[in-house]
Amino acid sequence: MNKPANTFCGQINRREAIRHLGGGFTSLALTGMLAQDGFFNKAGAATSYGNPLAPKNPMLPQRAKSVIFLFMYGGPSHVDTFEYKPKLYPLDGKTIDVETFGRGGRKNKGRVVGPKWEFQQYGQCGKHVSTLFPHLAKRVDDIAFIHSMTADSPIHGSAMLMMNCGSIISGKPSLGSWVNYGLGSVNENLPGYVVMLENSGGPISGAKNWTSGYMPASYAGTVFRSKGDPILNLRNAQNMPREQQRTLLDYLGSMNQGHLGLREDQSDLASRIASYELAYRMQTTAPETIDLDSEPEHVRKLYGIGEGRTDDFGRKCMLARRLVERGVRFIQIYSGGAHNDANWDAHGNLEKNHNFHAGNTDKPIAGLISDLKQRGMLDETLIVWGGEFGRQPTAEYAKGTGRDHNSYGFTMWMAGGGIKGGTSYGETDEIGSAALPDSKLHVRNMHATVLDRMGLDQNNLSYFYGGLDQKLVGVEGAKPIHRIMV
Amino acid sequence: MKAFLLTLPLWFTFAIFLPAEEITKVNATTKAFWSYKPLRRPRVPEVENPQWSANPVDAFIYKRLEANGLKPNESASRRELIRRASFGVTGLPPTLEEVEAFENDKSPDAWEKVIDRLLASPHYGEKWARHWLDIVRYAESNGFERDSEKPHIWRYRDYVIDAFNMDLPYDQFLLQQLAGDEIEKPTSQSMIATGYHRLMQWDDEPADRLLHLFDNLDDDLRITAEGMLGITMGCGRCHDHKGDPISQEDYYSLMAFFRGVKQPGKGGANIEKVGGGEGDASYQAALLKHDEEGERTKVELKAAEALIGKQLIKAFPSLKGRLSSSDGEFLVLLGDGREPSPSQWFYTTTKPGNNWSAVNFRAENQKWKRGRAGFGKAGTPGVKINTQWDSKELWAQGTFLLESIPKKLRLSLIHDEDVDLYLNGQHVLKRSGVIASYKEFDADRKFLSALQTGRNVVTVHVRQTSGGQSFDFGVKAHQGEKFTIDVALAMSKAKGVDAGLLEKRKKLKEQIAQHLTRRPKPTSVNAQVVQEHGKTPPPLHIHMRGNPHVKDEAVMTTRIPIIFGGEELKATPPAHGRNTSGRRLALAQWVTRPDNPRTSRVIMNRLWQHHFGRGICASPNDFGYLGERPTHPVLLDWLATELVNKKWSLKAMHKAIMLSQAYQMSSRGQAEGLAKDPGNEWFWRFNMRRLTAEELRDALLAVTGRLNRKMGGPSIFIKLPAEVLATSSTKGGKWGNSPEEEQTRRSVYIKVKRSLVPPVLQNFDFADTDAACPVRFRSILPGQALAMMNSAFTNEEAVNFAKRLRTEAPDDPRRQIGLAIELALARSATARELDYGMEFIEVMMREHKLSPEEAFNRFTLLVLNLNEFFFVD
Repeated sequence: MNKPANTFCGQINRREAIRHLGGGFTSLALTGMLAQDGFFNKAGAATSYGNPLAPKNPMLPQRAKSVIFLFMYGGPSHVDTFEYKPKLYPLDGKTIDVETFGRGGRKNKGRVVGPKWEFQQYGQCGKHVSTLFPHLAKRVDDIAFIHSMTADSPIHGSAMLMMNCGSIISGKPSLGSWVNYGLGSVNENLPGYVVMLENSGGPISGAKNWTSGYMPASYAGTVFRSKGDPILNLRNAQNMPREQQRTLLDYLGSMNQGHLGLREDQSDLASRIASYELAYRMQTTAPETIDLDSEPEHVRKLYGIGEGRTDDFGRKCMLARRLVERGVRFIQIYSGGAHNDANWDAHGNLEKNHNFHAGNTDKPIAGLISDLKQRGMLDETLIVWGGEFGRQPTAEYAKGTGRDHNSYGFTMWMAGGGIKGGTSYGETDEIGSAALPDSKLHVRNMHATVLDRMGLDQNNLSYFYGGLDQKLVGVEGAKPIHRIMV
Repeated sequence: MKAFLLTLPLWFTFAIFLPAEEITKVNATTKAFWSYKPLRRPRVPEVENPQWSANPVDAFIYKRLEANGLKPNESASRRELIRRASFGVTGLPPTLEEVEAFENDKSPDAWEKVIDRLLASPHYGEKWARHWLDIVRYAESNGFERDSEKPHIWRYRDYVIDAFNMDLPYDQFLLQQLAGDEIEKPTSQSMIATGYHRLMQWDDEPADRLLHLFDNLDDDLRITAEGMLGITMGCGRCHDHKGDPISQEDYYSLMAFFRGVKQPGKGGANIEKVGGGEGDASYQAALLKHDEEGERTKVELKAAEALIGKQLIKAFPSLKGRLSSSDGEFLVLLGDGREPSPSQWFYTTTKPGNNWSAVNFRAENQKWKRGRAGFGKAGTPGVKINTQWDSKELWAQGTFLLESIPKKLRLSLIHDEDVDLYLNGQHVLKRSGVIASYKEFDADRKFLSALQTGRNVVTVHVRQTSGGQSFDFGVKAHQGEKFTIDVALAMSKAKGVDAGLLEKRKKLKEQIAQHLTRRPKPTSVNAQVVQEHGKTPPPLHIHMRGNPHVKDEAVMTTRIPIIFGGEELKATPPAHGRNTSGRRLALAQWVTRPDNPRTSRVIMNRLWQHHFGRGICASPNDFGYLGERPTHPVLLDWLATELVNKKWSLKAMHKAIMLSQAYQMSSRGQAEGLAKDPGNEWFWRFNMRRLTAEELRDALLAVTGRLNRKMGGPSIFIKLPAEVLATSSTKGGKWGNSPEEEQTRRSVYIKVKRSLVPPVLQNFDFADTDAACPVRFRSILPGQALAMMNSAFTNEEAVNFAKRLRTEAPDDPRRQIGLAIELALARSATARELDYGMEFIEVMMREHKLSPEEAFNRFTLLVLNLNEFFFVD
């Protein structure tokens, strides 16, 4: 059926909106309840959970089933990592005319800080990678680099929102919410959207980075921890053992059945009874998921687990793989937290900062790619790497190597499901200050690519709110980056 | 695709085949649309069922049920009714006594009495304020990188609560929020109400300042249009609306009403003292009058003491020249804040002219304010504050008289940050930084040499950077060899002094002391209010494709959308002189016109929505073509006109609705209804509903007996799990820690911080903080089950609940179980439930080796997890 020209509110979004409007609508979804005898039946019989994350068919051919977004929070410098700028080295220390816009405002001149690491060519594709990433460098034939990324803001607060939610204004759902809204999740026992943070703290704006905005909270990210209790409230605050909890749930279920007996047409009641059983199963599934001790030593080593500085990020990467195996749709791992040098925000000493963060993550990320590949999972897992922006070629202060923010041009990379490995697309000018006009891309193009590879039509995946069919890529739409797609 | 089409509502399939120009242009079709057409009082239909004809609400409902071949449900039980009404009106469960009283009240107006009691409860305002706060996306921080505070904004929350409780007419409620500063006589309440324009997200460091200015104006405009008028205007920022007869020009014409409004800002921006503060003219006048009265008494006292002195000297000639008129070791020349009567200073916080420190500078002629010594911001340690000072800079002038130049002077000083002090125009003292207690020291040569006989002028400039702030200064002269009157009287046993004179002195001294206690206090408070750039806002043009950097030529006038008549509303700045355009008042007066086709319809739909679980129009913020069609448009028009007839009294309308048979229906299923109308479109039954996040937490605390019913004031910080605090980029998330007893206050008082919403609210579909939330989601999620079963909050409350029950029914487990059910579910327990509870406890003890106490703690947790607790029939 062709979409009529003036339908602003067709598609699943409209139905979704109606379903969440007034109470009367919820009982449309009758769950096939059988009238119960009333009181003392044991729970669990004939009740079903109206899962808002029930799997949905993709809109387009699906190239990837899960996304792992490795968020290099703070903004890694592209000219020091993956975009080789040989002409920048000899300019070191020279003041040149260059337009920049960052935390320090707009400037027309600046002292060049030459790249602080050497580059070498790797792989069959001959990609230049800096010495910051010795392990990742060996995986370049699996990776597609995007060197002409731009964003609307060079300021953390709004730039984080842009990268995660597609807008510099707060309140829009994040990429992971859109993916879950569009596809649902195949594993009821785990959240469909998982976020892992650094121990030093969350990113600026905290939960706004994984919010579901105007969509229901079921599409929001769940913070997952790689040690201890993975999810909030997974362990009973009075330390109730599992068997006790089973008894409690049985009695609770029976009493709820009694209440339901006279109200069997109210699907929310049955749904809530079933949600307790689901929660109970989650209490087993989630800890089992984070139990990395069961993994063989050689695989753990691949991720750098047990090796001091890479241990933490390595665990998170391995956990991401295990979550993908269990059907979790969207996983985001933060490298860097809190403020200043606790993340990639190298305003002061570039070398110290990037050596630290790259050193913590290089091996784990390379290990993740290798492990997914050897298991045949890389083809259906989409990996995204990048920060909220890049960094300027010039110094921020009179002294030192610190670079200010740069949203005029920066690098991100993708790998895995539906992505053409060993490719590079776009470039910045010869000093790395801004994306060249003919190859310039926007964060929306990256979002479009993720949605497309997941089987979602970025220009038609919409949610009706505030009188508008809202879309992640905005009302005007955006094209995916075909040049890096299989 | 075919199956999908079938699920579309009928009207929708119809609407999409209407040509776009039909619904996006102002024409006969759109003018006749249910929500654009003028509001008229409809005729109440006649129905034959006597039970359903008395109340007009019922007549409308019954007529549609009849037309659809449906029969309404019977009435709910009294227990169900009072639980429904208690949660619906106050957000709290009824007590068992209230349930029983209602069940036993056989009088015909028993139900009406319940409604009246609930509407009179102050908890009504706490419950219904939150519905309004959802619409205006109330939050107390700005969002973005720093997510900084919106100081004092909680007063707006209290304003909304008070407005509902005092049944402030709804038109006034809107008028005050839109333009409480521009009305003829602004009050502190109407000023606080304008905090409405300060609630939106605000980026202190936007990538594009001009764009962000219009993001903020757009936010203000959209919330007003959606919240008060049920129009989604957002589309108009970039192009003509694609689903409603609203053009881009309509959008910018409406934005012109808001164009003068200043953006939110850092710290002190948009903060004013409202309601007769220190700067307030009437307070200053009262202060002057009071001080003059005090002066007169002091003059009388001095005269009396002079007479006493004369009589003493007559009896003891050696006293001549050695009597002092003042008490104590020191003669206070300039009293600091600690003195019984601190000196009066003149002060200003705006930069004065160059000669401000000169002797001949008369601060009293320069409209400087008067304030008594001890300046500072509340909470600054060490200082005795008598005059609030919280601006960056302070200039102050104090004076004292000298008959002769003393050889020594004792000075006292406290300051929080930098002070420059001048005596008679000479710079005599410089201090920087902070001292946390008064320092007493002798005046140095520099100071003494600047003294003069007669009027001595002390001037001071104090600068503040951050944190606490204070300034206080005192000057005292040593009394030397002098005797005070008191000492002389004691030594002489008052020989030779007239007893009447002594009595007079005593009385005058008492009078002075009493007078001091009657000193008028500033009634003002700091509030975030709306401020404009001036009397004439900058010109506003249409932004091409919403881009503020690309403007159309024409300047927008303040005009309402064409579909509503297109009238240009002329604005004049208010006569009271506030530096504002008056445009918002012009808009507010149109919004609150009794014949405005949207205002009364929109609010009555919201009232209906929160009682019945679904609005008559199910998209309460969108009454346009893209919104839902109302199921009972005529009833809505009747309610809307009735509201205007009832002088916009919301309480009257609550009562009208709640007295209806429709409200009192049972929520049970019936075969016919379920078959013909499973979605309950025609209201054949009452909609069962889940408790909201706030109701759930408040009910839990009420049931366990721990709810602190204290109202109002700054927001509270409840305990948050460490895992949640760790999601913030700052240590501890800049989340406070309220005292234990504050933590059990109602949920409406919990701090609303954009980047850190407590899970106890978030898990249960709390409103988004960035955009209007006209309808809360009602999700049922396993995460909620985890929170209810496992969180520290519910487990602690379960233990508290168990403690309460053991106290109220000691040594009687069966009675404890019964009481748990009575308290949580507002009904008596059945015998089977009692047996069941006993069995549960026994199993917990036998199979899991728990103590009776532990087992009972498990039972109370179970009760708090019951569906019957979580849902309202």
